[in-house]
Amino acid sequence: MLNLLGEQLLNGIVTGSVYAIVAVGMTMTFGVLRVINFAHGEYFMVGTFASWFVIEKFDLGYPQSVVFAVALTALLAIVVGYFLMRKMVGAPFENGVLATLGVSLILQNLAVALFGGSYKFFNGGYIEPVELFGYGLAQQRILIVIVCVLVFIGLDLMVTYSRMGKSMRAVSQNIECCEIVGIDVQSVVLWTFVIGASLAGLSGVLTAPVNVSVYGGMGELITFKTLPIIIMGGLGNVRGTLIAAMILGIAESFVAGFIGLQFRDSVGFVTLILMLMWRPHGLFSLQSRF
Amino acid sequence: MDKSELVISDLRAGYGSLDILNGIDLDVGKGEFVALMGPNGAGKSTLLKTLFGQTTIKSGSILWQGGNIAGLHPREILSRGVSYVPQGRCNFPLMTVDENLQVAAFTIADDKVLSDRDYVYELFPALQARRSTLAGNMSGGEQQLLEMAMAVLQRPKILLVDEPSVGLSPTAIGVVFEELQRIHANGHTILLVEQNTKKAMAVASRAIILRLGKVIWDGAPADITHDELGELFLTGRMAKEDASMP
Ligand SMILES: Nc1ncnc2c1ncn2[C@@H]1O[C@H](COP(=O)(O)OP(=O)(O)O)[C@@H](O)[C@H]1O
Ligand SMILES: [Mg+2]
Repeated sequence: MLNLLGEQLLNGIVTGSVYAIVAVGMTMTFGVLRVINFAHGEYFMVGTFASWFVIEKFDLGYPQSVVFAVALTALLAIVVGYFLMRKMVGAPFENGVLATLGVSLILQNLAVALFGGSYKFFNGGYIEPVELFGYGLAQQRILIVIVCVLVFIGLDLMVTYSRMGKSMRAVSQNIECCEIVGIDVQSVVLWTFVIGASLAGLSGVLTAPVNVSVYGGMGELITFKTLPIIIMGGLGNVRGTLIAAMILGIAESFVAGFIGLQFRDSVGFVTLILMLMWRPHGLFSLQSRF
Repeated sequence: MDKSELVISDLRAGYGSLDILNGIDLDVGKGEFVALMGPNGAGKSTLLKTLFGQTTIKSGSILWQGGNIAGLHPREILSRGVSYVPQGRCNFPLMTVDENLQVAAFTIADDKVLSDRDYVYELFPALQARRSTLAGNMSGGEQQLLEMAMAVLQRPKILLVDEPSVGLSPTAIGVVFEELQRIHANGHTILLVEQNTKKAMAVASRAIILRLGKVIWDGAPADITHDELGELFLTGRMAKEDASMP
Protein backbone atom coordinates (compact mmCIF):
# COMPACT_ATOMS: atom_id res chain seq x y z
CA MET A 1 0.00 0.00 0.00
CA LEU A 2 2.71 2.43 1.04
CA ASN A 3 4.59 1.39 -2.06
CA LEU A 4 1.68 2.28 -4.28
CA LEU A 5 1.24 5.58 -2.47
CA GLY A 6 4.84 6.57 -3.13
CA GLU A 7 4.64 5.53 -6.72
CA GLN A 8 1.50 7.55 -7.35
CA LEU A 9 3.09 10.52 -5.64
CA LEU A 10 6.14 10.34 -7.92
CA ASN A 11 3.93 9.96 -10.98
CA GLY A 12 1.89 12.90 -9.80
CA ILE A 13 4.95 15.09 -9.48
CA VAL A 14 6.00 14.19 -13.03
CA THR A 15 2.52 14.96 -14.39
CA GLY A 16 2.44 18.14 -12.33
CA SER A 17 5.76 19.21 -13.85
CA VAL A 18 4.38 18.77 -17.37
CA TYR A 19 1.28 20.78 -16.50
CA ALA A 20 3.34 23.46 -14.79
CA ILE A 21 5.58 24.07 -17.80
CA VAL A 22 2.53 24.35 -20.09
CA ALA A 23 0.33 26.34 -17.75
CA VAL A 24 2.86 28.98 -16.80
CA GLY A 25 2.92 30.29 -20.36
CA MET A 26 -0.85 30.61 -20.45
CA THR A 27 -0.96 32.41 -17.12
CA MET A 28 1.81 34.84 -18.13
CA THR A 29 0.03 35.64 -21.38
CA PHE A 30 -3.14 36.25 -19.39
CA GLY A 31 -1.21 38.48 -17.02
CA VAL A 32 -0.15 40.93 -19.70
CA LEU A 33 -3.06 40.60 -22.13
CA ARG A 34 -6.08 39.54 -20.03
CA VAL A 35 -6.80 36.96 -22.70
CA ILE A 36 -7.35 33.25 -22.08
CA ASN A 37 -5.40 31.68 -24.92
CA PHE A 38 -7.59 28.80 -26.05
CA ALA A 39 -4.92 27.79 -28.56
CA HIS A 40 -2.26 27.33 -25.89
CA GLY A 41 -2.41 23.52 -26.01
CA GLU A 42 -1.83 23.65 -29.75
CA TYR A 43 1.73 24.90 -29.20
CA PHE A 44 2.25 21.79 -27.06
CA MET A 45 0.97 19.79 -30.05
CA VAL A 46 3.17 21.68 -32.54
CA GLY A 47 6.26 21.03 -30.41
CA THR A 48 5.45 17.33 -30.25
CA PHE A 49 4.76 17.08 -33.98
CA ALA A 50 7.92 18.98 -34.89
CA SER A 51 10.05 16.64 -32.82
CA TRP A 52 8.29 13.52 -34.14
CA PHE A 53 8.70 14.75 -37.73
CA VAL A 54 12.45 15.36 -37.64
CA ILE A 55 13.05 12.10 -35.78
CA GLU A 56 11.01 10.10 -38.31
CA LYS A 57 11.95 11.86 -41.55
CA PHE A 58 15.48 13.09 -40.90
CA ASP A 59 16.58 10.55 -38.37
CA LEU A 60 17.60 13.29 -35.96
CA GLY A 61 18.46 12.42 -32.37
CA TYR A 62 16.03 13.26 -29.60
CA PRO A 63 18.08 16.15 -28.12
CA GLN A 64 18.40 17.80 -31.55
CA SER A 65 14.70 17.30 -32.12
CA VAL A 66 13.98 19.13 -28.85
CA VAL A 67 15.97 22.13 -30.02
CA PHE A 68 14.24 22.07 -33.39
CA ALA A 69 10.78 21.69 -31.85
CA VAL A 70 11.19 24.59 -29.43
CA ALA A 71 12.68 26.81 -32.15
CA LEU A 72 9.83 26.03 -34.53
CA THR A 73 7.20 26.65 -31.84
CA ALA A 74 8.88 29.95 -31.02
CA LEU A 75 8.90 30.95 -34.68
CA LEU A 76 5.22 30.10 -35.02
CA ALA A 77 4.51 32.08 -31.86
CA ILE A 78 6.40 35.08 -33.23
CA VAL A 79 4.19 35.03 -36.33
CA VAL A 80 0.91 34.55 -34.42
CA GLY A 81 2.05 37.00 -31.74
CA TYR A 82 3.04 39.66 -34.23
CA PHE A 83 -0.05 39.50 -36.42
CA LEU A 84 -2.63 38.61 -33.79
CA MET A 85 -1.84 38.53 -30.07
CA ARG A 86 -0.21 41.94 -29.73
CA LYS A 87 -3.07 43.51 -31.69
CA MET A 88 -5.45 42.39 -28.94
CA VAL A 89 -4.08 44.92 -26.44
CA GLY A 90 -7.13 46.85 -25.25
CA ALA A 91 -9.57 44.78 -27.34
CA PRO A 92 -12.80 43.47 -25.79
CA PHE A 93 -12.60 40.10 -24.03
CA GLU A 94 -14.72 38.28 -26.67
CA ASN A 95 -12.17 39.13 -29.36
CA GLY A 96 -9.53 37.18 -27.50
CA VAL A 97 -11.79 34.16 -27.06
CA LEU A 98 -12.80 34.07 -30.72
CA ALA A 99 -9.36 34.79 -32.13
CA THR A 100 -7.56 32.17 -30.04
CA LEU A 101 -10.28 29.56 -30.67
CA GLY A 102 -9.77 30.31 -34.36
CA VAL A 103 -6.02 29.79 -34.10
CA SER A 104 -6.65 26.54 -32.25
CA LEU A 105 -8.88 25.21 -35.05
CA ILE A 106 -6.44 26.29 -37.75
CA LEU A 107 -3.42 24.66 -36.09
CA GLN A 108 -5.28 21.43 -35.32
CA ASN A 109 -6.54 21.10 -38.86
CA LEU A 110 -3.20 22.07 -40.31
CA ALA A 111 -1.59 19.21 -38.40
CA VAL A 112 -4.21 16.79 -39.71
CA ALA A 113 -3.90 18.14 -43.26
CA LEU A 114 -0.11 17.84 -43.24
CA PHE A 115 0.34 14.55 -41.43
CA GLY A 116 -3.03 12.82 -41.58
CA GLY A 117 -5.54 12.16 -38.82
CA SER A 118 -4.11 8.89 -37.53
CA TYR A 119 -2.23 8.49 -34.26
CA LYS A 120 1.53 8.52 -34.64
CA PHE A 121 4.00 6.67 -32.52
CA PHE A 122 6.69 8.81 -30.91
CA ASN A 123 10.00 7.05 -30.97
CA GLY A 124 12.59 8.91 -28.94
CA GLY A 125 13.68 10.02 -25.50
CA TYR A 126 15.11 8.16 -22.56
CA ILE A 127 12.66 5.51 -21.49
CA GLU A 128 14.95 3.09 -19.67
CA PRO A 129 13.88 2.87 -16.05
CA VAL A 130 16.17 3.80 -13.18
CA GLU A 131 15.77 3.17 -9.47
CA LEU A 132 14.72 6.14 -7.38
CA PHE A 133 13.72 5.79 -3.69
CA GLY A 134 13.10 2.15 -4.44
CA TYR A 135 10.76 2.82 -7.36
CA GLY A 136 11.43 2.22 -11.03
CA LEU A 137 11.10 5.47 -12.98
CA ALA A 138 11.87 6.20 -16.63
CA GLN A 139 14.82 8.57 -17.04
CA GLN A 140 12.62 10.80 -19.17
CA ARG A 141 10.31 11.38 -16.22
CA ILE A 142 13.20 12.50 -14.06
CA LEU A 143 14.33 14.78 -16.89
CA ILE A 144 10.86 16.36 -16.97
CA VAL A 145 10.99 17.19 -13.26
CA ILE A 146 14.51 18.64 -13.55
CA VAL A 147 13.55 20.81 -16.53
CA CYS A 148 10.49 22.01 -14.67
CA VAL A 149 12.58 23.08 -11.70
CA LEU A 150 15.04 24.89 -13.98
CA VAL A 151 12.26 26.58 -15.96
CA PHE A 152 10.66 27.94 -12.81
CA ILE A 153 13.92 29.12 -11.30
CA GLY A 154 14.68 30.85 -14.59
CA LEU A 155 11.24 32.45 -14.86
CA ASP A 156 11.34 33.60 -11.26
CA LEU A 157 14.70 35.28 -11.77
CA MET A 158 13.55 36.83 -15.02
CA VAL A 159 10.30 38.19 -13.60
CA THR A 160 12.02 39.53 -10.50
CA TYR A 161 15.21 41.02 -11.87
CA SER A 162 15.26 41.50 -15.64
CA ARG A 163 13.98 44.47 -17.59
CA MET A 164 11.68 42.19 -19.53
CA GLY A 165 10.31 40.68 -16.32
CA LYS A 166 9.71 44.04 -14.71
CA SER A 167 8.00 45.26 -17.87
CA MET A 168 5.78 42.19 -17.78
CA ARG A 169 4.79 42.93 -14.20
CA ALA A 170 4.24 46.58 -15.08
CA VAL A 171 1.92 45.72 -17.96
CA SER A 172 0.00 43.25 -15.82
CA GLN A 173 -0.42 45.72 -12.93
CA ASN A 174 -1.27 48.96 -14.71
CA ILE A 175 -1.40 48.91 -18.48
CA GLU A 176 -2.61 52.54 -18.81
CA CYS A 177 0.41 53.77 -16.95
CA CYS A 178 2.92 51.98 -19.20
CA GLU A 179 2.67 54.68 -21.86
CA ILE A 180 3.69 57.27 -19.28
CA VAL A 181 6.95 55.48 -18.49
CA GLY A 182 7.63 54.53 -22.10
CA ILE A 183 7.03 50.78 -21.96
CA ASP A 184 6.10 49.32 -25.36
CA VAL A 185 3.10 47.24 -24.29
CA GLN A 186 2.67 45.47 -27.63
CA SER A 187 6.24 44.30 -27.64
CA VAL A 188 5.99 43.07 -24.04
CA VAL A 189 2.83 41.15 -24.97
CA LEU A 190 4.52 39.67 -28.03
CA TRP A 191 7.59 38.38 -26.18
CA THR A 192 5.64 37.16 -23.16
CA PHE A 193 3.47 35.18 -25.53
CA VAL A 194 6.49 33.80 -27.39
CA ILE A 195 8.12 32.66 -24.14
CA GLY A 196 4.87 31.05 -23.00
CA ALA A 197 4.16 29.27 -26.28
CA SER A 198 7.75 28.03 -26.52
CA LEU A 199 7.46 26.55 -23.04
CA ALA A 200 4.28 24.78 -24.14
CA GLY A 201 6.23 23.39 -27.10
CA LEU A 202 9.03 22.31 -24.78
CA SER A 203 6.56 20.58 -22.51
CA GLY A 204 5.17 18.76 -25.54
CA VAL A 205 8.52 17.32 -26.64
CA LEU A 206 9.46 16.41 -23.09
CA THR A 207 6.24 14.48 -22.60
CA ALA A 208 6.15 12.79 -25.99
CA PRO A 209 8.46 9.87 -25.07
CA VAL A 210 6.21 9.09 -22.11
CA ASN A 211 2.83 9.72 -23.77
CA VAL A 212 3.99 8.02 -26.97
CA SER A 213 1.00 8.94 -29.17
CA VAL A 214 1.03 12.04 -31.38
CA TYR A 215 -2.13 13.42 -33.03
CA GLY A 216 -3.64 16.72 -34.18
CA GLY A 217 -6.19 17.04 -31.38
CA MET A 218 -3.76 16.34 -28.52
CA GLY A 219 -3.51 20.03 -27.58
CA GLU A 220 -7.18 20.29 -26.69
CA LEU A 221 -6.89 18.14 -23.60
CA ILE A 222 -3.85 20.18 -22.53
CA THR A 223 -5.74 23.49 -22.80
CA PHE A 224 -8.59 21.89 -20.90
CA LYS A 225 -6.23 20.75 -18.11
CA THR A 226 -4.44 24.10 -18.03
CA LEU A 227 -7.54 26.21 -17.41
CA PRO A 228 -8.31 25.02 -13.86
CA ILE A 229 -4.59 25.21 -13.01
CA ILE A 230 -4.18 28.84 -13.96
CA ILE A 231 -7.39 29.81 -12.18
CA MET A 232 -6.34 27.93 -9.04
CA GLY A 233 -2.86 29.42 -9.21
CA GLY A 234 -4.31 32.92 -9.44
CA LEU A 235 -4.39 34.18 -13.05
CA GLY A 236 -1.04 35.72 -13.90
CA ASN A 237 0.75 34.19 -10.90
CA VAL A 238 3.90 32.24 -11.81
CA ARG A 239 4.65 30.55 -8.47
CA GLY A 240 0.97 29.88 -7.83
CA THR A 241 0.80 28.05 -11.15
CA LEU A 242 3.60 25.70 -10.14
CA ILE A 243 1.84 24.80 -6.90
CA ALA A 244 -1.57 24.43 -8.55
CA ALA A 245 -0.06 22.24 -11.28
CA MET A 246 1.53 19.98 -8.67
CA ILE A 247 -1.74 19.72 -6.75
CA LEU A 248 -3.58 18.75 -9.91
CA GLY A 249 -0.89 16.33 -11.10
CA ILE A 250 -0.77 14.52 -7.77
CA ALA A 251 -4.56 14.52 -7.36
CA GLU A 252 -4.97 13.04 -10.84
CA SER A 253 -2.42 10.39 -10.16
CA PHE A 254 -4.13 9.35 -6.94
CA VAL A 255 -7.56 9.31 -8.52
CA ALA A 256 -6.27 7.23 -11.42
CA GLY A 257 -4.49 4.83 -9.08
CA PHE A 258 -7.07 4.40 -6.34
CA ILE A 259 -10.46 5.27 -7.85
CA GLY A 260 -10.25 4.61 -11.55
CA LEU A 261 -8.52 5.90 -14.64
CA GLN A 262 -11.83 6.99 -16.19
CA PHE A 263 -12.23 9.69 -13.52
CA ARG A 264 -8.77 11.18 -14.03
CA ASP A 265 -9.59 13.91 -16.52
CA SER A 266 -12.39 15.34 -14.40
CA VAL A 267 -10.10 15.89 -11.43
CA GLY A 268 -9.03 19.35 -12.60
CA PHE A 269 -12.43 20.96 -12.61
CA VAL A 270 -13.64 19.13 -9.51
CA THR A 271 -10.55 20.37 -7.62
CA LEU A 272 -11.15 23.84 -9.00
CA ILE A 273 -14.77 23.90 -7.83
CA LEU A 274 -13.82 22.66 -4.36
CA MET A 275 -11.05 25.23 -4.11
CA LEU A 276 -13.21 28.12 -5.26
CA MET A 277 -15.78 27.22 -2.61
CA TRP A 278 -13.03 27.50 -0.02
CA ARG A 279 -11.05 30.45 -1.47
CA PRO A 280 -12.99 32.34 -4.12
CA HIS A 281 -9.99 34.45 -5.14
CA GLY A 282 -7.70 31.54 -5.88
CA LEU A 283 -5.11 29.90 -3.68
CA PHE A 284 -2.86 32.93 -3.61
CA SER A 285 -3.33 36.57 -2.86
CA LEU A 286 -2.73 39.20 -5.51
CA GLN A 287 0.38 40.19 -3.58
CA SER A 288 2.37 37.38 -5.09
CA ARG A 289 1.14 38.02 -8.59
CA PHE A 290 3.94 38.39 -11.07
CA MET B 1 13.55 83.67 -18.91
CA ASP B 2 15.23 82.10 -21.94
CA LYS B 3 13.51 82.03 -25.28
CA SER B 4 10.45 79.83 -25.60
CA GLU B 5 11.11 76.08 -25.74
CA LEU B 6 7.48 75.18 -26.22
CA VAL B 7 5.39 77.09 -28.74
CA ILE B 8 1.79 75.99 -29.19
CA SER B 9 -0.04 77.61 -32.10
CA ASP B 10 -3.74 77.48 -32.93
CA LEU B 11 -4.01 73.98 -31.46
CA ARG B 12 -7.32 72.20 -32.00
CA ALA B 13 -7.56 68.75 -30.46
CA GLY B 14 -9.88 66.41 -28.59
CA TYR B 15 -11.22 62.89 -28.51
CA GLY B 16 -12.15 61.37 -31.86
CA SER B 17 -14.26 63.90 -33.72
CA LEU B 18 -15.02 65.83 -30.54
CA ASP B 19 -12.89 68.97 -30.25
CA ILE B 20 -12.07 70.13 -26.72
CA LEU B 21 -9.22 72.54 -27.41
CA ASN B 22 -10.46 75.30 -29.71
CA GLY B 23 -7.34 77.06 -30.87
CA ILE B 24 -4.76 77.25 -28.07
CA ASP B 25 -1.86 79.68 -28.43
CA LEU B 26 0.75 79.39 -25.73
CA ASP B 27 4.51 79.77 -25.23
CA VAL B 28 6.51 78.32 -22.36
CA GLY B 29 10.10 79.40 -21.78
CA LYS B 30 12.92 77.33 -20.42
CA GLY B 31 12.91 77.19 -16.63
CA GLU B 32 9.41 78.58 -16.23
CA PHE B 33 6.94 77.30 -13.65
CA VAL B 34 3.56 77.70 -15.28
CA ALA B 35 0.30 77.14 -13.42
CA LEU B 36 -2.51 76.21 -15.77
CA MET B 37 -5.88 76.92 -14.20
CA GLY B 38 -9.51 77.12 -15.18
CA PRO B 39 -12.96 75.79 -14.37
CA ASN B 40 -13.81 72.10 -14.53
CA GLY B 41 -14.03 70.82 -18.08
CA ALA B 42 -12.04 73.74 -19.49
CA GLY B 43 -9.70 71.32 -21.22
CA LYS B 44 -6.66 71.55 -18.93
CA SER B 45 -6.13 67.80 -18.72
CA THR B 46 -6.85 67.51 -22.42
CA LEU B 47 -4.10 70.03 -23.14
CA LEU B 48 -1.54 68.03 -21.14
CA LYS B 49 -2.66 64.78 -22.79
CA THR B 50 -2.37 66.44 -26.18
CA LEU B 51 1.16 67.61 -25.43
CA PHE B 52 2.00 64.01 -24.51
CA GLY B 53 0.47 62.60 -27.69
CA GLN B 54 -2.63 60.97 -26.21
CA THR B 55 -5.42 62.79 -28.04
CA THR B 56 -6.55 63.39 -31.61
CA ILE B 57 -5.06 66.57 -33.05
CA LYS B 58 -7.18 68.30 -35.67
CA SER B 59 -4.93 71.24 -36.54
CA GLY B 60 -2.23 73.54 -35.23
CA SER B 61 1.30 72.82 -34.15
CA ILE B 62 3.28 72.04 -31.01
CA LEU B 63 6.86 73.19 -31.50
CA TRP B 64 9.12 71.69 -28.87
CA GLN B 65 12.75 72.74 -28.99
CA GLY B 66 12.28 73.65 -32.62
CA GLY B 67 10.59 70.43 -33.82
CA ASN B 68 6.88 69.79 -34.25
CA ILE B 69 5.81 67.04 -31.86
CA ALA B 70 2.11 67.21 -32.71
CA GLY B 71 0.91 63.73 -33.61
CA LEU B 72 4.00 61.88 -32.43
CA HIS B 73 3.68 58.71 -30.36
CA PRO B 74 3.93 59.23 -26.56
CA ARG B 75 7.14 57.13 -26.39
CA GLU B 76 8.75 59.43 -28.95
CA ILE B 77 7.60 62.53 -27.07
CA LEU B 78 8.93 61.08 -23.81
CA SER B 79 12.30 60.44 -25.41
CA ARG B 80 12.45 64.09 -26.40
CA GLY B 81 12.37 65.16 -22.78
CA VAL B 82 8.67 65.64 -22.08
CA SER B 83 7.50 63.75 -18.98
CA TYR B 84 3.93 63.53 -17.78
CA VAL B 85 2.35 62.87 -14.38
CA PRO B 86 -1.34 62.26 -15.13
CA GLN B 87 -4.21 62.91 -12.76
CA GLY B 88 -5.09 60.11 -10.33
CA ARG B 89 -3.02 57.09 -9.41
CA CYS B 90 -0.47 56.07 -11.98
CA ASN B 91 2.08 53.65 -10.55
CA PHE B 92 2.64 49.89 -10.33
CA PRO B 93 0.99 48.99 -7.02
CA LEU B 94 2.53 45.54 -6.50
CA MET B 95 6.07 46.74 -7.09
CA THR B 96 8.25 48.41 -4.53
CA VAL B 97 9.08 52.10 -4.70
CA ASP B 98 12.53 51.25 -5.99
CA GLU B 99 11.14 48.92 -8.66
CA ASN B 100 8.69 51.59 -9.77
CA LEU B 101 11.61 53.96 -10.23
CA GLN B 102 13.55 51.33 -12.15
CA VAL B 103 10.61 50.78 -14.49
CA ALA B 104 10.21 54.53 -14.97
CA ALA B 105 13.88 54.69 -15.95
CA PHE B 106 13.67 52.09 -18.73
CA THR B 107 13.99 54.93 -21.23
CA ILE B 108 17.40 55.81 -19.77
CA ALA B 109 20.62 53.97 -20.55
CA ASP B 110 21.39 51.25 -17.97
CA ASP B 111 24.62 52.64 -16.57
CA LYS B 112 23.04 55.98 -15.67
CA VAL B 113 20.01 54.59 -13.88
CA LEU B 114 21.68 53.99 -10.54
CA SER B 115 23.19 57.42 -10.15
CA ASP B 116 19.94 58.95 -11.36
CA ARG B 117 17.99 57.04 -8.72
CA ASP B 118 20.27 58.52 -6.08
CA TYR B 119 19.56 61.96 -7.52
CA VAL B 120 15.83 61.33 -7.22
CA TYR B 121 16.08 59.98 -3.68
CA GLU B 122 17.98 63.12 -2.73
CA LEU B 123 15.22 65.19 -4.24
CA PHE B 124 12.52 63.10 -2.54
CA PRO B 125 13.82 62.22 0.93
CA ALA B 126 10.38 60.88 1.90
CA LEU B 127 10.75 58.11 -0.68
CA GLN B 128 14.22 57.09 0.38
CA ALA B 129 12.84 55.56 3.57
CA ARG B 130 10.12 53.77 1.61
CA ARG B 131 12.36 52.20 -1.04
CA SER B 132 11.23 48.64 -0.40
CA THR B 133 7.58 49.36 0.36
CA LEU B 134 5.01 48.25 -2.21
CA ALA B 135 3.68 51.37 -3.94
CA GLY B 136 0.08 50.27 -3.41
CA ASN B 137 0.61 50.08 0.35
CA MET B 138 1.56 53.74 0.66
CA SER B 139 -0.70 56.70 1.36
CA GLY B 140 -2.11 58.75 -1.51
CA GLY B 141 0.34 61.54 -0.82
CA GLU B 142 3.32 59.22 -0.89
CA GLN B 143 2.08 57.66 -4.12
CA GLN B 144 1.76 61.12 -5.67
CA LEU B 145 5.36 61.85 -4.67
CA LEU B 146 6.43 58.54 -6.18
CA GLU B 147 4.71 59.36 -9.46
CA MET B 148 6.41 62.74 -9.60
CA ALA B 149 9.71 61.09 -8.76
CA MET B 150 9.21 58.58 -11.57
CA ALA B 151 8.78 61.43 -14.02
CA VAL B 152 11.72 63.41 -12.63
CA LEU B 153 13.92 60.32 -12.96
CA GLN B 154 13.40 60.51 -16.70
CA ARG B 155 15.32 63.81 -16.48
CA PRO B 156 12.64 65.70 -18.37
CA LYS B 157 13.27 69.08 -19.94
CA ILE B 158 9.64 69.84 -19.18
CA LEU B 159 7.42 68.19 -16.60
CA LEU B 160 3.65 68.11 -17.14
CA VAL B 161 1.81 67.58 -13.84
CA ASP B 162 -1.98 67.19 -13.65
CA GLU B 163 -3.69 68.04 -10.35
CA PRO B 164 -1.22 66.47 -7.94
CA SER B 165 -3.15 67.71 -4.89
CA VAL B 166 -6.46 66.01 -5.63
CA GLY B 167 -7.63 63.83 -2.76
CA LEU B 168 -4.64 64.54 -0.52
CA SER B 169 -4.59 65.75 3.08
CA PRO B 170 -3.50 69.35 3.69
CA THR B 171 -0.14 68.12 5.01
CA ALA B 172 0.42 65.93 1.98
CA ILE B 173 -0.51 68.82 -0.32
CA GLY B 174 2.11 70.94 1.42
CA VAL B 175 4.77 68.30 0.81
CA VAL B 176 3.77 67.90 -2.84
CA PHE B 177 4.09 71.63 -3.44
CA GLU B 178 7.41 71.82 -1.63
CA GLU B 179 8.59 69.01 -3.85
CA LEU B 180 7.39 70.78 -6.99
CA GLN B 181 9.37 73.87 -5.99
CA ARG B 182 12.43 71.77 -5.33
CA ILE B 183 12.12 70.10 -8.75
CA HIS B 184 11.79 73.52 -10.35
CA ALA B 185 14.78 74.84 -8.43
CA ASN B 186 16.78 71.92 -9.86
CA GLY B 187 16.26 73.31 -13.33
CA HIS B 188 13.19 71.50 -14.63
CA THR B 189 10.55 73.46 -16.52
CA ILE B 190 7.10 72.74 -15.07
CA LEU B 191 3.60 73.00 -16.51
CA LEU B 192 1.24 72.38 -13.62
CA VAL B 193 -2.53 71.97 -13.79
CA GLU B 194 -4.05 72.73 -10.41
CA GLN B 195 -7.50 73.26 -8.85
CA ASN B 196 -5.95 74.63 -5.70
CA THR B 197 -5.39 78.08 -7.20
CA LYS B 198 -4.05 79.64 -4.00
CA LYS B 199 -1.24 77.11 -3.75
CA ALA B 200 -0.56 77.14 -7.48
CA MET B 201 -0.35 80.95 -7.66
CA ALA B 202 2.01 80.96 -4.71
CA VAL B 203 4.61 78.73 -6.37
CA ALA B 204 4.23 79.50 -10.07
CA SER B 205 6.14 82.13 -12.00
CA ARG B 206 3.30 82.48 -14.46
CA ALA B 207 -0.43 81.83 -14.52
CA ILE B 208 -2.51 80.79 -17.50
CA ILE B 209 -6.27 80.52 -17.43
CA LEU B 210 -8.10 78.21 -19.75
CA ARG B 211 -11.84 78.34 -20.39
CA LEU B 212 -13.85 76.43 -23.00
CA GLY B 213 -10.69 75.23 -24.65
CA LYS B 214 -9.10 78.65 -25.10
CA VAL B 215 -6.50 80.68 -23.20
CA ILE B 216 -8.34 83.66 -21.70
CA TRP B 217 -5.68 85.08 -19.41
CA ASP B 218 -1.90 84.89 -19.31
CA GLY B 219 0.35 86.78 -16.91
CA ALA B 220 2.22 86.93 -13.64
CA PRO B 221 0.37 85.57 -10.58
CA ALA B 222 0.96 88.94 -8.87
CA ASP B 223 -1.10 90.67 -11.54
CA ILE B 224 -4.37 89.00 -10.66
CA THR B 225 -6.34 88.81 -7.41
CA HIS B 226 -8.27 85.78 -6.31
CA ASP B 227 -11.57 87.57 -6.79
CA GLU B 228 -10.62 88.40 -10.34
CA LEU B 229 -9.56 84.81 -10.91
CA GLY B 230 -12.93 83.57 -9.69
CA GLU B 231 -14.70 86.02 -11.96
CA LEU B 232 -12.66 84.84 -14.94
CA PHE B 233 -13.45 81.19 -14.18
CA LEU B 234 -17.15 81.99 -13.98
CA THR B 235 -17.73 84.46 -16.78
CA GLY B 236 -14.58 84.38 -18.88
CA ARG B 237 -14.33 88.17 -18.54
CA MET B 238 -13.18 90.71 -15.97
CA ALA B 239 -15.21 93.81 -15.18
CA LYS B 240 -12.03 95.86 -15.03
CA GLU B 241 -10.19 95.24 -18.31
CA ASP B 242 -6.64 94.04 -17.80
CA ALA B 243 -3.66 95.05 -19.89
CA SER B 244 -2.26 91.54 -19.98
CA MET B 245 -5.35 90.13 -21.64
CA PRO B 246 -4.35 88.62 -24.94
N1 LIG C 1 -11.59 60.48 -22.85
C1 LIG C 1 -12.50 61.43 -23.15
N2 LIG C 1 -13.38 61.24 -24.15
C2 LIG C 1 -14.30 62.18 -24.46
N3 LIG C 1 -14.41 63.35 -23.82
C3 LIG C 1 -13.57 63.60 -22.81
C4 LIG C 1 -12.57 62.67 -22.42
N4 LIG C 1 -11.87 63.20 -21.40
C5 LIG C 1 -12.40 64.40 -21.16
N5 LIG C 1 -13.41 64.66 -22.00
C6 LIG C 1 -14.21 65.89 -22.06
O1 LIG C 1 -13.34 66.95 -22.37
C7 LIG C 1 -13.73 68.12 -21.70
C8 LIG C 1 -12.52 68.70 -21.01
O2 LIG C 1 -12.09 67.79 -20.04
P1 LIG C 1 -10.72 67.96 -19.25
O3 LIG C 1 -9.65 68.27 -20.21
O4 LIG C 1 -10.55 66.78 -18.40
O5 LIG C 1 -11.04 69.24 -18.38
P2 LIG C 1 -10.30 69.83 -17.10
O6 LIG C 1 -9.08 69.02 -16.88
O7 LIG C 1 -10.01 71.24 -17.45
O8 LIG C 1 -11.26 69.73 -15.98
C9 LIG C 1 -14.84 67.73 -20.74
O9 LIG C 1 -16.06 68.18 -21.31
C10 LIG C 1 -14.78 66.26 -20.71
O10 LIG C 1 -16.05 65.71 -20.55
MG1 LIG D 1 -8.54 67.66 -15.37
